[in-house]
Amino acid sequence: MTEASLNNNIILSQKVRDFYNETPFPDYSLDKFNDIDELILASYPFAEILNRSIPKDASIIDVGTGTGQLSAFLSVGRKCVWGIDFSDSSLNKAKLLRQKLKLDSWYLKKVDILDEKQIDNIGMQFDYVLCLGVLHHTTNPYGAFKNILKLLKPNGFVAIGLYNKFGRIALKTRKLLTKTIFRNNDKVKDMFIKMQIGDIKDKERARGWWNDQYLHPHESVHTIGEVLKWFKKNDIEYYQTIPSLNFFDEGDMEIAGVWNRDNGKYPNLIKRAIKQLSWIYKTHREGGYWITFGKNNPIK
Amino acid sequence: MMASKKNEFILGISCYYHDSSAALLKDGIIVAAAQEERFTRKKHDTSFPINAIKYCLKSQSISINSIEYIGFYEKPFLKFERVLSQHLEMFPKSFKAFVSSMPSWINEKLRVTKTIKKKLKYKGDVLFIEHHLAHAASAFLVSPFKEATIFTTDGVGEWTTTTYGYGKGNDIELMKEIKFPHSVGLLYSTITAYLGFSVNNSEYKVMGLSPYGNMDKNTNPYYKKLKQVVDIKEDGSFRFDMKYFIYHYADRMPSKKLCKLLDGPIRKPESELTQRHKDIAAALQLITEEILTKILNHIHKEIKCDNVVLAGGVALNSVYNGKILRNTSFKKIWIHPDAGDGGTSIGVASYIYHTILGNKRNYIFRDAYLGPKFSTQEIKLFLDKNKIKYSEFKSDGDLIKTTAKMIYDNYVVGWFQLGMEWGPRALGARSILSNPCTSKMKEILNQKVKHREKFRPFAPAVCEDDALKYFECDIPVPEPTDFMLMVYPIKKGWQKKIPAVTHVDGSGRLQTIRRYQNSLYYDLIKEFGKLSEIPIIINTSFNIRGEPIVCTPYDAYKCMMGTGIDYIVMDKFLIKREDNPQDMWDSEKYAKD
Repeated sequence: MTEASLNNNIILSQKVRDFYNETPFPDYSLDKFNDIDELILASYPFAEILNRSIPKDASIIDVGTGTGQLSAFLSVGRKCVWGIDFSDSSLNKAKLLRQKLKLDSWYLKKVDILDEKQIDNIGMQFDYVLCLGVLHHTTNPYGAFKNILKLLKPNGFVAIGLYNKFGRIALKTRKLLTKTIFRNNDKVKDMFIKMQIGDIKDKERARGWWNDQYLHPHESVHTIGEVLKWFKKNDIEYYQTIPSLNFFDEGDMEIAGVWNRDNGKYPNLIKRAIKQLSWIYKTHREGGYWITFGKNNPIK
Repeated sequence: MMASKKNEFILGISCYYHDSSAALLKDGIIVAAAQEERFTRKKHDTSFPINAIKYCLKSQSISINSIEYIGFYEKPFLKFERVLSQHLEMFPKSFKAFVSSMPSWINEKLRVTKTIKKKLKYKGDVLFIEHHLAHAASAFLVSPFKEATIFTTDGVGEWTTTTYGYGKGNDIELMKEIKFPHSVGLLYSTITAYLGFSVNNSEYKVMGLSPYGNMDKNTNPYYKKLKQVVDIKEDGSFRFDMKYFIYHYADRMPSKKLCKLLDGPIRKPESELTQRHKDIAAALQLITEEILTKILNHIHKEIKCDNVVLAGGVALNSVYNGKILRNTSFKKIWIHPDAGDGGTSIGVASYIYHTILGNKRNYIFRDAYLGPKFSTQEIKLFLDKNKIKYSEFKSDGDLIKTTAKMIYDNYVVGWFQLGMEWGPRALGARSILSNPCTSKMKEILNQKVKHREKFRPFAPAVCEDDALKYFECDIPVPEPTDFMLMVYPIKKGWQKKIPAVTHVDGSGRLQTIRRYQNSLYYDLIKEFGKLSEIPIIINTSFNIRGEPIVCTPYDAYKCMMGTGIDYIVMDKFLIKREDNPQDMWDSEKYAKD
């Protein structure tokens, strides 16, 4: 890497950090959570499924936890759940939530995942490493991926959520429209964000999502093949993706959970190509977001 | 015997015949169980219980990966062998029925393992046990008895229709059986069909109709006629004259000869019920009771154990259940609350945990509230989100006092508390409550909500410690009364005071309630007693005729808004029908068999 590009990356990273300090994500009002029951009730279906897929005695780290709604929810009934992020402002909000709900098993720490030393300073490994919607906002997604694998125990499980190159096309188009034709049209903007999160009555949440999806200073897009290569290079066994890569898949995520290995169904190039093309439409509401699940298998 | 470990989850599944269900055991304790119909809103749903399974896993916050074993309630290939044999034997008469039944065998029933693995993405072992063994396990392994005589009887499993055996500790031995086509369950279903009611659904209506007929063996002509159909031996074993039946080769049940024997054609649904129909129902009940009493007395002599447990669809005959301890030598009784096929999901899961894995029994089935439950916050969120007008009770005391007064004032109250009940009966979690002391309450309930046949009685709910004052129960009051499984005579002095729950023969299918099971419900009945001087209320299922019992707050609200239910007491909230938009849907339109 040249010095110039290194400098560019540093500047970009700082921009991203400033962005999150100004607009913590996912934003929420602390008044919304007066007790743990309210936190549980406010959890989104995917968080609930994720929670059910992870045994109660497992340790978890949520990388890029932001304001920590997911890791706070996962810490209920568990002994060790960490949330790390590089935004002070997001972490401060998370800390207030921890204090308010007395979530003693929820640990928060400021960590930049591009900095190996900061990762090493955590000083422990986890059964589950979650990195959902984070790597594509870093200047070096693969480098960050390699770094966070240091936090994963042998035989531990990992989940990586990224924007898909094809799935993101529709959102990029919408983004372009909001910057040009509909620049001053709030109704259209509301419609676009409603399309993504369903309900925009919670203004803080809607604003958080708007900022994250439409105003973010940096994002990259990735293909399934790319992530599979990352997995292969680092001895991570591929389990499955959400949305599924299998044709005629009758499985229900609510039952099967998210670390359910697709036995002998490794997605070949044709399957990946067909599926990713279908994601242009299928995942356009979610902005082309998909998650790949795997297991750390250091010894073959 | 396989090794077992802690936090062992076992899932039991029953489906593809009637009343699909799923049950989840954690370390031998039933932690969740539900029938599929409650989620799909299709009564007696037979489909793969995907929603019930989803609920079971969700209730424990686990995914399928935490399940050690899945058990299926019967052996499909053994059953298929019986189906093939009966069709071959009856060829060519059976051809039509054979052709119509084959697609479901090929697509579903013979592909159970594949379906489970595909739909659930399950990678562990699927264990199959015989149908009647699953019934036996559902009756014995969760009963309060360390040892018991086991008696199971239903329509048909693989080949078996009736069995008896002995259970001790965590072992079950089935000793003798009666095979298809000779079946008390199928006899009952045949006459149910003959009387114009739906099979595998309305047998209990025929039971309810029987007291309107002539219950005297000597003078009821149809008793003698039905005796020609069944040859009953001294030990209770029986054999049918198959010329009176066609269920072994057709989709229908009574033959022309049976119609001739019973002096008329099959009654058209919803047509008038004549005295002849009522006498036939009475004769059927008499024959059934005669067979069951003979068998039970015989097996008591053979096994010499005073405890008896029952399961199988015939064990839902609550009229007979109330007579067992009086008519036989048994001293204690337990019946699985969902004695029909639905209960076998609990049976197979318990059998795997206790009998196959060899774990000691550590659980007695005393709490039927195993279905979905909703927290106060969840309910409040539902009400607010849907802009439903409601008020909140200040305390449990306020809730009990207000509700008791509403019932006393002859309002019809929907009662939505705790987890949904397991089994076919509403037991104070998804119930409609009203005043039994008002003579017209039966008509009011029928007109406002239930739209059901006039002859059918409503059930009384009474606190267990008051039961003996009002009912001629066995002493001590048997636990199956907690699950509304026993009919007892109402004491003479009280019959006229609680007319709405007194059946034509002076009996009542009571539900007893113990405070530890459902304290709010118990206290409500007591409070009602303070107002009316009789601590008994009407408890009928929270649904309209033809619909499954409600499951969610939405189902309950929808049921109220389409009927004449005046109030719902939902957790801590009171919803008044008048305060909310009317007529979400027309319940009359949906009232069916």
